[in-house]
Amino acid sequence: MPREKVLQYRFAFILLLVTISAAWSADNITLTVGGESVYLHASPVIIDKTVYAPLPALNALGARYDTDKTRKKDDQEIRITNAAGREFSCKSRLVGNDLMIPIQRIAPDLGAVGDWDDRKQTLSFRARVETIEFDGSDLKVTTSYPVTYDVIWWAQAKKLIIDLKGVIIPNDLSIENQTNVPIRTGMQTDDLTGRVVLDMPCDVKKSVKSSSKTATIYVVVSGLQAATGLPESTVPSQPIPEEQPTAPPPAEITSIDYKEQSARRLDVFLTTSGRVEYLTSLLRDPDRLIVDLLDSALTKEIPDIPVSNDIVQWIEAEQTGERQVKLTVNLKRVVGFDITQSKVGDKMTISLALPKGAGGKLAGKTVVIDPGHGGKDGGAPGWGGCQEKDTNLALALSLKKALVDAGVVVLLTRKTDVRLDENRKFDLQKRADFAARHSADLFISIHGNSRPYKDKPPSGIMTFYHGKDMSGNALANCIHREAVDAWGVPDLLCRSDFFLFRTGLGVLRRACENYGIPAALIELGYVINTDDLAKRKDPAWVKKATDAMVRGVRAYFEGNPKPPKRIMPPEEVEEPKPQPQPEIKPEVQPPSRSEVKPPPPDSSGPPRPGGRQ
Amino acid sequence: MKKIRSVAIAIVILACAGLGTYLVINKQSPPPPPPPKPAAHEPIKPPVKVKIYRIAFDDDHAGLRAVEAEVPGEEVPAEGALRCLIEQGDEGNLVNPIPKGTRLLSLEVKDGLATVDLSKEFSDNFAGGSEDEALCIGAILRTLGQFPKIKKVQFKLEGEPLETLGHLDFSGPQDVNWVGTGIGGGN
Repeated sequence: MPREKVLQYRFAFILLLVTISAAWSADNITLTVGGESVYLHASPVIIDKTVYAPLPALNALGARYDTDKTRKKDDQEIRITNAAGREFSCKSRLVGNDLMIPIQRIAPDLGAVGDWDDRKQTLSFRARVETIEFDGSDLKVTTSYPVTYDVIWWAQAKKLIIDLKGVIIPNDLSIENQTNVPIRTGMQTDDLTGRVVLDMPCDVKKSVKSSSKTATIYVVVSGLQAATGLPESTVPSQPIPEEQPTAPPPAEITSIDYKEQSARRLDVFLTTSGRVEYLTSLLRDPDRLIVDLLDSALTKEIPDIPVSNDIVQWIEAEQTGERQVKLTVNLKRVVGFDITQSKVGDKMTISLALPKGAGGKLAGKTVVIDPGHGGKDGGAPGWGGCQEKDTNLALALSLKKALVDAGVVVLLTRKTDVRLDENRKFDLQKRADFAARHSADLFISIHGNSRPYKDKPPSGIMTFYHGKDMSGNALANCIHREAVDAWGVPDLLCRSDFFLFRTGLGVLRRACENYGIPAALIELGYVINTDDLAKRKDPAWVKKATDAMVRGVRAYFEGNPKPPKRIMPPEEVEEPKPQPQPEIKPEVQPPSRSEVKPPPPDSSGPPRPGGRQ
Repeated sequence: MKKIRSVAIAIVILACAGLGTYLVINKQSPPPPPPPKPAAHEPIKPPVKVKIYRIAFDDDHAGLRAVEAEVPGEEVPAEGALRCLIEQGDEGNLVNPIPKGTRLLSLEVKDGLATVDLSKEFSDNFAGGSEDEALCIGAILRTLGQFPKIKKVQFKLEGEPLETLGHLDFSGPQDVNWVGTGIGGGN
């Protein structure tokens, strides 16, 4: 082959390659900084195997760029000043209408460590932690570009903690420590958060002097020099990789307060230093709501808070373990409750409300009972070919009889083995419509439970109410705890239906949201468990459960038949101020002083996860 | 003559390249990214790793757990993940949350909404409690939710909108984050 021809072919081939490689680009590439995706008006693209992003992406990394001469033309030199103030330049490319810079290639110049995830088409950046300086009073942590962070004083363990979001801690991190306070660093399990821990010899106070997003975190620590007579030595400590992430400090509960929102509603407020996981138990004899606050601590002892209105008698809080606080709201009667926490975790609100219809008599009320499933819809298949729908109906008929005996007007959504809607589509809607049509005061849906299991089939009772509805919560709690006691089966808790799904259970949602009828759905045992199923089929056990549920429904309307226990500890007893008596008419006499005794230990079953509803 | 021919060939190639460049520059959404190997035949795409959410037992509690699965490179990942979720059998501690016999009729994704059309077995063969239903719907939502393009899911049964399997209410588009915390939903 002649030499020129070979050359020509080579030339053509190279040209082809150039063309093709320029064409390799993609849309829908995400850029994240510190785990958060960066909003960009145009998607980054891949050119020559590197990610190009629009110029404003530089802002997310704390860099500035020269815009004056930025006219839109290809191959233009862009001058960039990184977060540390160092200048450099790079060539941009014109993609569509946007000037893009090879952000992946210049990441080291920007102080960013980039990771490309090919499957997610995501380029993530983290900042480098560069220096840590501590002289006993000023604590400075610098990063390669601005990051967000948390400074935490963990009082119990005397640890000062700085959590930096979206960083990596390099091996050559410079630590300048003029004290003998050990300084350790490590990455948290999310691999995004870097943690700096100072193990203090004594209690210190911290004061954060830098803005919430910065490349120079500045914290002033006081109380250390006084205790140790620093500076003593200037031995710098080496970074020790955290073998196990340090347990986060407990949330601090600094104050408890309450407000009567109306005659029927009272809110208890807790000031907290972070979000708190909790368990709740609504107990009876005496009526009280216990909220176990996990991973939390009281900053000071909080004296009992007298309330004495129609809902609450007094509130008390005590530290029950190193990392647990028990809040007890001593009630006048059964209430509905709901717990919310602010997004930032500085406030927890426990709302307590008299349920709809509370204070009236049980006799004369209208209750709609809804036996789940029916007809073609057999519900969960039970042991030995027994269908859930059939035992649901038997339980409903028994509950009807027991309620009618108590003077209640009772209607059933189905009295026979039928489906309310042949196509399942409107089945749940029709059940709620029925309750509304008959002006039901309460709606109770009866089901049997089922779920996959591994070794042995589950057993127990689980009851749902809709979302954050407090009347439904009261009704569900009332019938649930009575039924659990009557059958002696595991207490699988009374929960919001949001526990299953964010829109809840169809029948409860419709009854509650469309018609405002207090509604509960009780799963009386598992149809796949032979013992539970035997109870569902045995008329004597069925009667036990339904008699118990009537006691629950009575308590919902009338309050607990047993008298509420005393009001306040003796030395702080005040005569309850005469209050305008609303519809609550306790059937029992107020307790005499001689009956005063502390509440008995909790015996009404395990605490209930309230969770993040 | 030979020289003329080779020059002509070079010109043709150059023209093609030029036209190619022109087309590429004017194209709004460029083709997918690397590896940029001009292969002579159709490149074999490597299988894609996806997550599918299956029922797992922790003590005696049943919840959803992410399990890795591989989807052939030629298949749309979301569709492949859903197919894997539906087809995978039970093994040891892991149970398929989808009613037996269910077939995926179609999956369309448009503007963040995925429309999942399932065969009638999905409804006919569902026989369970509220937890079963929450696990079943939750598994589909979480499996599709791993794809950033999918924010909401509309369920259909043989082309018709599906609202419930007897307990839940999932009429209309359902947010992929609506799976309850009690059965393995995110926060």
